[in-house]
Amino acid sequence: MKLLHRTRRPFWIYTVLVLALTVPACYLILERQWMADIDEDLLVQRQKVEAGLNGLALDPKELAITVERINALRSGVQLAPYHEGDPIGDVITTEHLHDAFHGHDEPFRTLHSRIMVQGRPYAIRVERVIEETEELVIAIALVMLVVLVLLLGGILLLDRMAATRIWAPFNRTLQGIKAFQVDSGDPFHAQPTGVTEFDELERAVEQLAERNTALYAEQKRFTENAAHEMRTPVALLQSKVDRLFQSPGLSEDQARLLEEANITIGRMRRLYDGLVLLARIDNDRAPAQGEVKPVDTVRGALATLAPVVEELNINVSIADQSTRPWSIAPSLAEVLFANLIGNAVNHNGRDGSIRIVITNTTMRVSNTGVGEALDPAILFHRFASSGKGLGLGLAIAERVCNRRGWTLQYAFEEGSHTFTVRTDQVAH
Amino acid sequence: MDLLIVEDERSLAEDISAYLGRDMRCFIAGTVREAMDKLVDRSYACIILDLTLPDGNGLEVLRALKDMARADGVVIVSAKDALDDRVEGLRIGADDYITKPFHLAELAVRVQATIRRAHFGGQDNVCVGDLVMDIPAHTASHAGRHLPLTPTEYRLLALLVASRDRVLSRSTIAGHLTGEDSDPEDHAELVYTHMKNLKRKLAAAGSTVNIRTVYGIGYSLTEG
Repeated sequence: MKLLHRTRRPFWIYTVLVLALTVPACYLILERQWMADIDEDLLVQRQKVEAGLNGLALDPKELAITVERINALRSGVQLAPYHEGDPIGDVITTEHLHDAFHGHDEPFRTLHSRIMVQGRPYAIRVERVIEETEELVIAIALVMLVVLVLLLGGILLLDRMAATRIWAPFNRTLQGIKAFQVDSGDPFHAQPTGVTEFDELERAVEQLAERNTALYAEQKRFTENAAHEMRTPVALLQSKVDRLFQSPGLSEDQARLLEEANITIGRMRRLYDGLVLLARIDNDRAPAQGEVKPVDTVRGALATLAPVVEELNINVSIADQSTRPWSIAPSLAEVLFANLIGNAVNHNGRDGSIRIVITNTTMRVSNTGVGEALDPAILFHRFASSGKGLGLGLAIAERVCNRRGWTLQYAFEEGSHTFTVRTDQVAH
Repeated sequence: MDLLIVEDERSLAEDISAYLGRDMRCFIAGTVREAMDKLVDRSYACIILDLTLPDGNGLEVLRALKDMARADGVVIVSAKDALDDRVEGLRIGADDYITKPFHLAELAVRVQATIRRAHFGGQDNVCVGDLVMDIPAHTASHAGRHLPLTPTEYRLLALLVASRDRVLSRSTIAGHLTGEDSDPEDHAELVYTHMKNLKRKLAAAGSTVNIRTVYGIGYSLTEG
């Protein structure tokens, strides 16, 4: 959820609540007020009729005629001589009556009361149609709703525009951070935004980027220096062991110890070579460009391992179905193929087989070997050794693939381990 | 034959000198300056050149050598495994490149090959006892008869010949055969099998060249 949405959400909820409560409340209040006005009007009307009739000072006969005429007018006032049971006080109700003028049922507000004309009681009914009044109330409530919606919508729109403007520097900073690459050599430059908080953020990011660049450079230097500083002492160790082997009168036990030292030095060197290579691939320092005919590199890797392949009598078959070179730096391709094929050879058994299938986008290396599947969860982890080798080869192969945007997959089918390099993700 | 070892690590230079000194006269230089002085004194069959020297880059020595149009063979030894250095060294005219750490036997076989290439145009055959090795063709013959060696067996023989009368341990040989990245322990039988075949072929040809097993873990070639 965006920050803006998060801040606006309570605002929206509040708005909807206010609208939901205000509009019906308005409607109710208006309607009540109108009814009160009408009722008052009805009472005034009654008083007017009472006062008017009394003021005319008619004799009973004339009064009877006048009452008849008033009733005949259907002006909303009906008079009748008072009978027992007719209301004495003012009774106001809303009734649905047939309106002869409109020709259908209409809601009426009616007042039943008793008036005294020249000492005689009359039952009076004053009525007034209220449909127009209701329509008016609804119209007023609608106008209110529209005004409220316009008001709130406008406020939200203005808020959004202001927010976009306010957050613009933040988005710029974010773009800057995304574009920043520690190894590109382009530093992150803080840009003044005019907003204190964002200026502070920019400065903090700038400092962070500087520290990262410095650390990265330091790490690079360390990797390079380690390469030099560790190789020379190991070279000395190696040459001492080589010379010791030449000492006359070495006992068989001493020679065996020397050979163990010799093997350990070799392991140390491979371990160290592998780690430096991994660091170099991870640090993006290996070359990225180039073209390679995969089958050539595969043959090169196999040639290096020929003594082992011959000795174990491993049957190697290569099916090259590729029609164009692969886009990868030759040194990276050598590392990738040598590690995959080395893995297939080193984990093979006597009289085993290796099958390599190369297409324009994939390379499959299948080998016979230990009859159980490897654990895919740790397969490509460093030092995930199965007992043979250092456990760096597959980690290196996978890093090379990642570096190139390719994938390296493992499958175990019918007693055969298959590693597949897929380059399809990259447009050629 | 004279050999110049340009290496600032004195102890390593002495080990190289002691190992290769059986076949060649070795001179040692610890700086670029010293190396330049020694270049003037005489020409060398081969120069073993470290690139990282206290007073400069070993490539300067290589450039000076090429400026003088000298034919001395050059094997670069470097603690840097950077591809750039390797390419640059070979481009300027080094014959081979070896990265520290290395086996003295590995250095010996490369120095021998470099000397063959640099001074005899690779045309020269090497005589080892009653064997004749044709370096460029990667073949060997005995009394005019071709020895049917596999490429692996030939490489094995070349390694042993370059370090003849010295002891090579099984793991050193395995490292040479399968390259730096293989673990010799993975292939304990490897050297034994190929060595057995080589010995059998030498014996079948009636060669006096003898490969004997030393201390149960090493091999040594004598011309007989």
